[in-house]
Amino acid sequence: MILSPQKLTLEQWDGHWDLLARQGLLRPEHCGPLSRHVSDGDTRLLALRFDNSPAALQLWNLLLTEQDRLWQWKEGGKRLVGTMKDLGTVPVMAYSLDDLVAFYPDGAWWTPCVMEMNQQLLQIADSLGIDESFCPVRAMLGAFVNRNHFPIPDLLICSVGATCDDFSAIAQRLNGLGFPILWWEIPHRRPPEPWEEAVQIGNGLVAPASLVSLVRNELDRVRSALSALAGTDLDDLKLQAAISRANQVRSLLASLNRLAFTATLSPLPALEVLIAQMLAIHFCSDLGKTVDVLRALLAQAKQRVDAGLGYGRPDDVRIFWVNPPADIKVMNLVEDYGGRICGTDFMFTHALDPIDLDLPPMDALARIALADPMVGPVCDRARRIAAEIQRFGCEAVVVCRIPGASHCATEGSLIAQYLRQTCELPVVEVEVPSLVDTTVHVFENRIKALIETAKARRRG
Amino acid sequence: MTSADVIYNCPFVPAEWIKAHGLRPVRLNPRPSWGMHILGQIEGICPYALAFANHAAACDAGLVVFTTRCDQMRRVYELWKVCTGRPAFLLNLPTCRQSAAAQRFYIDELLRLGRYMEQFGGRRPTKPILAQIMLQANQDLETPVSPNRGAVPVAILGGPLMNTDMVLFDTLASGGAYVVFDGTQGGTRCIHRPFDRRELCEDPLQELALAYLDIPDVFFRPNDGLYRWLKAQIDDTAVRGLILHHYIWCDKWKAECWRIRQWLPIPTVVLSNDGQTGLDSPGIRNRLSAFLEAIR
Ligand code: SF4
Ligand code: SF4
Repeated sequence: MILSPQKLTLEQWDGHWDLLARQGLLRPEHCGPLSRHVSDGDTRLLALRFDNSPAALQLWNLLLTEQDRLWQWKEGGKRLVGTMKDLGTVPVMAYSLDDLVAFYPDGAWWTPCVMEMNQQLLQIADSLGIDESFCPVRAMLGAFVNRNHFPIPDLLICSVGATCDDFSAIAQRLNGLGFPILWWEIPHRRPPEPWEEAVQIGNGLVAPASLVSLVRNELDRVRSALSALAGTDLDDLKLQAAISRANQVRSLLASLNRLAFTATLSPLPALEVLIAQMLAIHFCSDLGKTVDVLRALLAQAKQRVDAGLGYGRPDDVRIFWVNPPADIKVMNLVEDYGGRICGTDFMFTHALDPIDLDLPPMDALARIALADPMVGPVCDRARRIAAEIQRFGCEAVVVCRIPGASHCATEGSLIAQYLRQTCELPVVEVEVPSLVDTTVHVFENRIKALIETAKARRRG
Repeated sequence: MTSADVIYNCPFVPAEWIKAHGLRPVRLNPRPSWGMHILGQIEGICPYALAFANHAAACDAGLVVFTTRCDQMRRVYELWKVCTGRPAFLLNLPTCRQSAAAQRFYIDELLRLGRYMEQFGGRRPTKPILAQIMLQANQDLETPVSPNRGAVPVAILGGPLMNTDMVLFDTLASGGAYVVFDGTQGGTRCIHRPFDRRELCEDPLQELALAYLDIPDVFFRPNDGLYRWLKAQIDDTAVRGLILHHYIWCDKWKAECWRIRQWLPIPTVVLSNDGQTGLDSPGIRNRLSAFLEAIR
């Protein structure tokens, strides 16, 4: 049975839940109604509107139960690895070993939004001198201090080098508070010199072989630490198997994105597409469930496309979105204003690209780590965005600025400038705070102006 | 400036390496960007990084070297290239300096810088030439500070200062203080240790790299070296108060200020610099004078 796509408030979802249950459309993996998470403190849910499919429910439940899952894993004897900053590479290594579970404490980035600042995480960070001149990842410091958000990992691993100053500074402070960290170097990805050996690292990018080799050596240190933690060798065979499973996730997401961005009507709302993409980073601490959720979402999207169903109108303005929004509610709002997200770069495109299975696994992982859009030159990132804009036929671009982020001021304006010149599209830069409510009129005006400009260009 | 000048600001660009290539190292102490915005005025950029880039852009000649010591500088390098259309060199620095791989990486980067300098008239140095320049540098290092009797011993710590910020030293002197150690980027903290004579005869480039990587800086991970250096300085001097300086948007120094204050056994005052008002404002003068009075 195909459900007509409809965005529901949390309250409406509760009624919808009863209906689906009566119709026998819910299975155990759908867990329970979303509203139960509000009592856990996830109050931002009350301000969002959600897709009405059981698949979307499964997605949200997977996301919102992660904290419980981590405690369960820990109590069940698994060793927890807190991987920080690299977004997508170290978890593949950790999930090669059955006894390890990896997650990103960086995920606290969204806690001030999801919990609407109720948890005082930012206040704790403030009290430690990490104020609003840092990006929302400062909430992570608060989460480590108050120990309410995730179990303290058995091993913390953090990439540094060509990373943002915010994260590097905050991770160092964490270290200073007594949390040991295994640091590994991710150097700035520069173009190879004419005399250097160059290697392809995926998606048209090349890097000097010496950089790939440096990263491989650094990841070898990570490999040793993971082996020691699990008490078993992390060999190439295990790594190959984990890479295959990670690629399965990446391939499902690629199909989902393609459908979401190219169908006449969008089969899934932008908010759910954002959440689905986030699963690529560390599989929400459960690789098996991630695959199930993505399969269900993809099946749902296909059904809707085949039936000619979807959100919005065919003439909605096709927008490319750059950077993750600190308040996920804006994904709903853009659609309310007549926009449709048809391409994204949430800063972890390397976690969506397939990992090369023909290479020795450590080599493949080193290459994918170096393909991180944030460690390379801005022009590489802008070029990829331009190619995606063309691929998905986008008509306008939003460069979302993250409050306090060390890279946004320069990077955002360079990307905007490049896209204006290369794609000749209207571009707006707009800052999205963790709770957009107080500045929502500014946001609305800027997005609506962008949409109007794009529509005027259609008329020539 | 001449085309033989190599303009840089980062202490991890070895002046000896530039000299060994027959070029002139020019460590820029930039002036603030006031009104001179070749790179535009963008909210959220470290004012020092912007000032360095603007000042370098205003120099009509010379080869400019940026480094990846912080994200701000790495990205300002890109802005510089786009806005000026001029070439520049970005030196990749290792952050995890303890590993042998990181040391090799730094040496490779210095060699890459060398090849770059050769394109601009530099000559590839022989080992003896580099060794000789390093020996000379060892002699230049010996500049003991003479204590100023009767004045209050204070220290300064933090990132770089712009040329107008040097007024801080005058303010302290006129307030009856003298600086027993300068831990800013232009001070003793960022001067490399003496080169080891035996090592530099065997492999001067390696010794050069290791000596520079020993500079205790806030950007290394972990940054314990900075704290070890600070402790040694405090133990060795009769310092009574510390002035901590950082620019707004400089996350690496700003984040450490809180920890340094907790950790230090002496009073500290934090000066947060927006790069516009400068360190000569009445507000800062007042704070410093109150601080000096309190620790006298
Ligand atoms: S949002 Fe930007 S500044 Fe913040 S942690 Fe992520 S990459 Fe760093
Ligand atoms: S002051 Fe800080 S942010 Fe600015 S260039 Fe120096 S290290 Fe980077």
